[in-house]
Amino acid sequence: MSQPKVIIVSSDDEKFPVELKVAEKSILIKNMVNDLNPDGLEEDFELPTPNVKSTVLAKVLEWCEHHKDSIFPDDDEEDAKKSAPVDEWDKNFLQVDQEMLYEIILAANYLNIRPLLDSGCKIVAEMIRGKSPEELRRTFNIVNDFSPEEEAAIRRENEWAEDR
Amino acid sequence: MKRVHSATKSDIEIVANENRDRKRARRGYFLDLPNDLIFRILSLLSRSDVIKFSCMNRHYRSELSPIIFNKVKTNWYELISKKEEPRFDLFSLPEYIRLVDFYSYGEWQIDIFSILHLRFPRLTHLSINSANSSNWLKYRTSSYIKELCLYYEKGHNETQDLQHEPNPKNILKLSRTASNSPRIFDLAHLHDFKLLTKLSLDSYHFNWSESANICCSLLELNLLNCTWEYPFTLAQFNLSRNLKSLKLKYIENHPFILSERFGKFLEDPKGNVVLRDRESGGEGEVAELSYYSLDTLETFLLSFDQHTDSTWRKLLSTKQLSKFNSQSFPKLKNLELSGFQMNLESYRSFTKILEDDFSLHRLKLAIWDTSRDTTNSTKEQFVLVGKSAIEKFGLELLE
Repeated sequence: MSQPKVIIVSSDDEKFPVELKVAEKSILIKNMVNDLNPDGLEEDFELPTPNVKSTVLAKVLEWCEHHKDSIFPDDDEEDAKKSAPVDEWDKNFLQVDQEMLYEIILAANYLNIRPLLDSGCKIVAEMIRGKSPEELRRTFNIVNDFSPEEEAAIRRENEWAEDR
Repeated sequence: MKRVHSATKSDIEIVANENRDRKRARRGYFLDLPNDLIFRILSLLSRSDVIKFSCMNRHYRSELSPIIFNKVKTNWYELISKKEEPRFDLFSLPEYIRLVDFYSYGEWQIDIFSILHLRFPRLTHLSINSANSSNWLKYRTSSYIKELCLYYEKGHNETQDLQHEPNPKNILKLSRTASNSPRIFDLAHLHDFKLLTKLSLDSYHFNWSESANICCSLLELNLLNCTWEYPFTLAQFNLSRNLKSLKLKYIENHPFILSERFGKFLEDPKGNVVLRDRESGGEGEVAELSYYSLDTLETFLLSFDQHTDSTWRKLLSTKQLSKFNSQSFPKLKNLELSGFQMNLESYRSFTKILEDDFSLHRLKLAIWDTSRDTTNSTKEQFVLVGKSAIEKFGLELLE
């Protein structure tokens, strides 16, 4: 008999049966499965994720599937983790439009998948790093609504902001 | 969706549609992320990147202003002149201020701490560019500064230029070129900074005596390129016995790490200080002795920049490493030594002693391995999980 699966149900009622190992990449799901099955998983177990819609859940589970055997370092090296580059596979995986990227970040946050959350946040930070306000507006689709006077005032204010 | 339980299906559909419409209008909008995620992302960026990010439009500016004006920089002239207050006060009151220019006249003649406190009631963290020894601070008092940083960066004379021009004979320009004499720091100068717990010093020299007034109760001490002379020892910073973190850094190939003083420090990093009670220690009387050391430390970081010329590198012997044992530093949880040269073979043979003698949570050694041909050495990361209290060794070889 095959291993019992965790069936994750998206907000729009789509069902995603996955291996326990894959589902456990989400600490939230891992804890729920453990709490509700104290003797271990004996049969398929259905879990709703009312905050995550199917398109996003599919993406998140694709990540979990790929990383089901990856070992991620502990939380204690906060600085080292910040400076570590994004995993190449993650980088390609997160080449999605901004809306999807934010949805993945939100889902990773909700489902408590730290490594995915870290990668997502780093990708967004990469989009910001080293760019001028004009370049940033293009990246983030923002219309400049400052008057020339306001722009001058902002330049003056910025001289006060600590930049190191 | 928080609607009443008896909502009809069409009600729910209407609400759902409304939600969807609002979402569509703001599709993929960064500022719609929850605050903790916004902070998380911005914390990966430099402050100047965040400042530029806040300049995109009005909404971004108003949302991000509290973050970018939480820390401000200014100069003496802006503070002492009666100019109109800048607008950042409207958004948030800064908790951190850096004075970017050095102004000796101001240090001695202007009570800058009172001015700062009046204008910035939430200020707790001050960073000052000072070309001088710390003596001027003994005439200053502050009951609100918790973190103080004294650093020195040449070429910032904004206030002197504004206050003292015209200056046809160039007198001040001559007098303000920094002298080569060391900038002396003495903890006793901060005796009226009652709340101070974190101190950062850049390029100071210590020679104060052991009888220094015990004033502030430091928790954290960061020293960059600092030097000292006999009989001073770093333990004198810990007379209040509260110090938890000491970070000692040397950059730009600082020669002090090759000095005898520094060698002595490595021989006995804990550094006992015997403090005689002067009042009871009169003629013929046996003075009461108290001992102070760095044994309260939980975090100890010692790092040098990585000099490419191997003759400049400092060797760390296993004997020196063993001085950080749990007997000397019973509370030490986090030890980081980087930039040293070390024989990795002996390190490996030493791991057992480490496991027995240390009670660290984290040991990070970033070292040059002398047991191998350095031209072939590649960067490696060893993570050893010990069966004893040491959970993890991080070992990084410098290339």
